[in-house]
Amino acid sequence: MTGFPQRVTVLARVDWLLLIAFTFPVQIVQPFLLLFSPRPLLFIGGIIESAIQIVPLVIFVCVMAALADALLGAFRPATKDVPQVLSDRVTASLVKQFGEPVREIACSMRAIPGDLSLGAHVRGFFRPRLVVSGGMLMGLARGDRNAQAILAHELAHVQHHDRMLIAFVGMIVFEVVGRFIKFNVNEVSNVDPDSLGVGSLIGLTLYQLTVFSVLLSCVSRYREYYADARAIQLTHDVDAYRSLLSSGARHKGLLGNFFHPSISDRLDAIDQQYRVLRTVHFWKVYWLAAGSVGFLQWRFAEDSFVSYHGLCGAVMAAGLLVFEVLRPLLIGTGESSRPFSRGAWPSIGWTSRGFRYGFMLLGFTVVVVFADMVSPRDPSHIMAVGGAVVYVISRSMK
Amino acid sequence: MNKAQLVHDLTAKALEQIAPEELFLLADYDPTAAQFGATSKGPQGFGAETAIALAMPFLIKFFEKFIEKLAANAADSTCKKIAGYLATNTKAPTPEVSDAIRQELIAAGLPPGKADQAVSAVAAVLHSQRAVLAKT
Repeated sequence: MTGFPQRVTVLARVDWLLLIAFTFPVQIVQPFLLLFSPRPLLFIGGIIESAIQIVPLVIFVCVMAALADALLGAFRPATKDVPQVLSDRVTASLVKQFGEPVREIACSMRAIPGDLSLGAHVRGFFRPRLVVSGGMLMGLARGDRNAQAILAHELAHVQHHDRMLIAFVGMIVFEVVGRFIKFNVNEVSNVDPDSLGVGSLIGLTLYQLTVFSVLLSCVSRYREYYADARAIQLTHDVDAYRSLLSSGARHKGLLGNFFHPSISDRLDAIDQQYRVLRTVHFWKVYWLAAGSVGFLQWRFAEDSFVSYHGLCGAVMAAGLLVFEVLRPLLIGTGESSRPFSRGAWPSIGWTSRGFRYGFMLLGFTVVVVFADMVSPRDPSHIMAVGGAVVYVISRSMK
Repeated sequence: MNKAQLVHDLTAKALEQIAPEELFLLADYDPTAAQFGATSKGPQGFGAETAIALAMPFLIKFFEKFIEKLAANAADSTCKKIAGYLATNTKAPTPEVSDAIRQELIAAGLPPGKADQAVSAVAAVLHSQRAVLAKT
């Protein structure tokens, strides 16, 4: 399949590392800043200190992720073990198609026998398991090509560690819950006279949820493109996968396209040989905006703690932006694979997606900076209203 | 034995011969439940709106309709042929009876090719349970 990205799985995993790194900019960047200090050997102590800070946060986020996953599972139909004879037959069929590495996950597969459609998803955070519909199980047992293609897509999610998405949700919950716990502690103990009132707390929480929701949706959609690209690699049949997508289950309702790109976008991605993974405009704009905010914080924040955090954030964002510029070289060949080719940067146009994302991210950035300048003691009201205005305007551009 | 249990048992016996892998689906089958497509919903779910060709739902429909007609002593010609076959001790169905069963399976929704494959198994199941069917 000439022109298709070659190193899909490697890049999918690296993307997670980068996202996690950006979640802990101070802990990651701090040791390296020490290399430029008068005592560079403090770098070793910096690594240890960062690890001590990161580990409990990671553990807590993983616990929240496991809880979020369990809660999500509670709203889904119950699963059943697949009978041994059927499991052996399905496993043999899948090993023949995808090779020995699929055996372990095939053996631990569970089913929703009451659903006779073709469908699957992955459950479990610490130990991901494939869950297939009853109809899909029959398809796999009979070697149906559509069923195998759907399974290849879910296998890709497992190989790409996409259960990290639930950790992302856990992190959001951690932020919101932590903020409410801190608020209640301050209310009870009155230790912080500048603590937020209830209205400001709700406003700030809503603002954070808006921003995090946009991020979560973008991350989830990109993981679907990665899974599609990998599934095509596993099945070696682009036309069959395109046909499957055309008959794909439409995701309806309010959350219809929140986690998944539309079917037409996914088909376009195939036709463009996954240019969407070679040149991720969203992340370029995001790292530019995040780095700008960090730089402004470093230069103008009065609080040295905030200023230092801004410096770390700016350095991290700069590093990630460099990676994004080099992304086309890392994933594979293609006309837009040169970092500075025309297609490597967002096209400028009122309704183009790049412009819309850029507007949204820069808009959020401006709102944060403006709110901090106008009302440094309590910026939450301005942030909540401003953030909502930016979001509504960006949606109207579509 | 109530009608639902009889339909379940007949379907299970037919599936043992036609499509034993579908037995796993039988216990949880509920045409009124809104589970179709539930597995592919939510984050990282994937599915297709087409479905695998299964024999089970159509066999259930066939046995339900047949038992209803039998109980109502329907004047349906195909039903009468099948009922006449069940009244005999001859295991092997005549071509007319096989054709009648085939027509009823197609009427229940089974594709013609699958119906052809299922005829002898369905006839054998009906004949083996004729005593129970006679009580309906």
